[in-house]
Amino acid sequence: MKRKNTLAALVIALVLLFTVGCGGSSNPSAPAAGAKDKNDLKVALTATPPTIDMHKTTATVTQQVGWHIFEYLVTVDDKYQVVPSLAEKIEISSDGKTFTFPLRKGLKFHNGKDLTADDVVASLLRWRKYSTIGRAVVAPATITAKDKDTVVITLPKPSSALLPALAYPSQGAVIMPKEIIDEAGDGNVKKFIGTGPFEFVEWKQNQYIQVKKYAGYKSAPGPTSGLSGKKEALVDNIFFYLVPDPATRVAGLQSGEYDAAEGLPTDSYETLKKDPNVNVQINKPSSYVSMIFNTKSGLFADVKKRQAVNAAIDSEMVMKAVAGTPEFYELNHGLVFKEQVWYVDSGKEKYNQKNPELAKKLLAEAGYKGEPVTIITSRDYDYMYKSAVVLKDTLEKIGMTVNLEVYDWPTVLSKRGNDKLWSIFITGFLVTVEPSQTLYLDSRFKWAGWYNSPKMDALLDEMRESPNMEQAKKAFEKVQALYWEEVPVIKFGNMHQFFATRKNVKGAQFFCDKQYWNTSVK
Amino acid sequence: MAKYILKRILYLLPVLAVVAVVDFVIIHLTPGDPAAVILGSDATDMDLAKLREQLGLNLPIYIQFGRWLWGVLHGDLGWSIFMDMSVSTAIWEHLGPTVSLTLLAEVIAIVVALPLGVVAAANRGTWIDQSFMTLALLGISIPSFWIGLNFILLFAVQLNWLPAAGYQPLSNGLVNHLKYLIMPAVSLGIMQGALIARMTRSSLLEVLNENYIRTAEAKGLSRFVIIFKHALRNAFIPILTVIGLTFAVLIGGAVVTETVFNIPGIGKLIVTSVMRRDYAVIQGAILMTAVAYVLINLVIDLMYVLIDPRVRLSK
Repeated sequence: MKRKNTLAALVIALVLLFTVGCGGSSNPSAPAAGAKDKNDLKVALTATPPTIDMHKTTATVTQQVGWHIFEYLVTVDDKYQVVPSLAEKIEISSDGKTFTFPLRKGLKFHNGKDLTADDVVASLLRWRKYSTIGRAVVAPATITAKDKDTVVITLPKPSSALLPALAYPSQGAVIMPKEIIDEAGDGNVKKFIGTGPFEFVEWKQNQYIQVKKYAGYKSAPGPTSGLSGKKEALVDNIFFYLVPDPATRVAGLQSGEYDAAEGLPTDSYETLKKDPNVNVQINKPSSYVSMIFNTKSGLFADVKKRQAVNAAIDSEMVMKAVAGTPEFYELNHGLVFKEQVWYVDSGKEKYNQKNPELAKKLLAEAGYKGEPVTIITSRDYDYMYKSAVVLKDTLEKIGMTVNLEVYDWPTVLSKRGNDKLWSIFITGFLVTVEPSQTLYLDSRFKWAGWYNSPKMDALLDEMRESPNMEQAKKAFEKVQALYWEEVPVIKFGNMHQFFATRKNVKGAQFFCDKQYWNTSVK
Repeated sequence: MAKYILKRILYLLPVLAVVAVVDFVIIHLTPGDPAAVILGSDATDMDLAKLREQLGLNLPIYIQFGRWLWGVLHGDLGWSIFMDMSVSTAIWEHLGPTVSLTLLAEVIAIVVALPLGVVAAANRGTWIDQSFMTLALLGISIPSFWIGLNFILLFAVQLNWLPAAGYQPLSNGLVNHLKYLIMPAVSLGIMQGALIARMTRSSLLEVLNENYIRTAEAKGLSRFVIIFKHALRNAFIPILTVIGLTFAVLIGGAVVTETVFNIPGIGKLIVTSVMRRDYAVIQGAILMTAVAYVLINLVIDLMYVLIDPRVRLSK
């Protein structure tokens, strides 16, 4: 009898121990499934952001959450033209060197503090320290607060690239309170405080990030256009769920666990289209798929070998493998999208040549003797792996020896930093506001691939220093022609973004990426 | 007995030392760079190098190990560079879902598997036995994530009875808590249950061949009393071992199931941390799993004594 009691006691003790453990992650405010009386929007994101500190990272998922909380001094309208956001207007001096930004009156941060020119200056200085584009374009500038409500940026030379850099959404120049920045030092900010339509509430690791409607939000004047104009929080809370498994995102959307889901697999398109509770959207322009050559060392330091590969590429074949159906891709040579004012035709003839004979000829001329080409890629992003497989086949058909090395994404990121380890990797590029922001063109960005062409750098500078759009666009025509001539990167094609919501979600807009302001759940 | 427990706990130390070293070395030999993950794919080499230095990632590996070990010996598992919290806090926050899921899966497994195994053994060779064991074989062979995905399709997408994924803590109500956990628990429990059922059957069959069972039958005891009073208890030690092992495996985080059902448990924590090369968290979580594994086995060993008085642990 006694022994049985001991056994029972042990079991009870164990259960108690574990029940205590369960209490560890309690959160009374977490939304319950099916609680439809709440005016909340539940979004399934594809990955966990490294941080929401937008100055610090180029990760897309940081921007997807961050721009609901933070705002930019200037931003872009639906034509990708730079317009004021926190600034009331943009005044440019006649010599094109001084930019004055009077701030809109009466704006407050989420912590109740007034927005002043000091906050803007501190934010822009911090952003310039970390952002590649910020350093490249704004480095020679002086950024000062003329008075409490006016920020002045002075440049030694005129630049058409300054405003687009300030408006560039990814790793964007968002405005935070000065104290928060001072407190952060070299690290990440400890509190996510901005002026946006939503304020940060909580980040439950591996579950969700919650933002709530900011009651004191003051929208910029004018109707919504691109990222500018009217922004209104129509829901009380947004829960950004972090759902890495694509099948779970699809199922969660169909069952109503999520109201909206991003980064859906294109092969679920037909299923979701038939679902009476779901609206599907194909969003563009979103990104383009490219292969990057290691131009610093190895085979492809030789421009002729790069041209040979470019001659062989059948873009249609790659994009079909990547996207499945034609609804999700578009063949286009442009480094900017045709929806943008910058779009030009130069270099078009070098795109999608499908000419293996020419490729073989160029390889022979370049003296290629079967040295191995190393493609590093990852299955973490389906499109990378699929395009790498097609690429391997294409290269083998023109007589190249190819090693395809498949790793997880962090390994690819770390390997690509070493020019001895790879010849080619695949990645995607998002919409740029101004084409000199393209990472792989400017040698001074020192981005993986290390394309270094003094001629290109000079053309980019010419473009940035052009006094007007017309001349800048002329310079860009030369940039794009030189790009297709020297092919540091081969663009395969444009890939659209597949997004879906429940039928009751209204107004979720896509511009550069997804915005959930002006979005309601009824 | 106290001496035995103490001895077993001391045995833990060399085990943990080996785990710590192997764990650290494997993780750091894996290519991959947390700095690149933090800064995103568009970061430049210069920024990456700067951050690596800031995080201490450019130090020689033995110095990194020494620093980490010194911390662990002082009860400090380190700091997560991504979550910006201590590793102990991160593990603690992710422990609740895993423990709930484990307990529920194990309860389901035992409740289904024990009767199944007993009935199969009692009807050895009949169609009942064969069909039960076929079921068990299926249960072992079908991956739990596949079962999980089918459950989601059926119960969440088609019938809309249960949420497709996610987690609600116990503090939000038991019903809510269970609603989110039942599908993953069943899909995990099927596999564990299948193991337990097979072990119950074979262990019981062995005992049923013993002489004392024949004696009991000769005495005219009922089949029920023979099986449950005389046979099962004697057959229970191997069953308990299997239960203990499955429990220990689950506590380490059901990696795939937690991912499919998006449950923020230890398994998910480990996967996310591996994907981001959040070294301190991976090391801490694996160390914690090793400790749990050893402790659970200790508890199981202690239970042997309670079930079978012939077992003497102190020898």
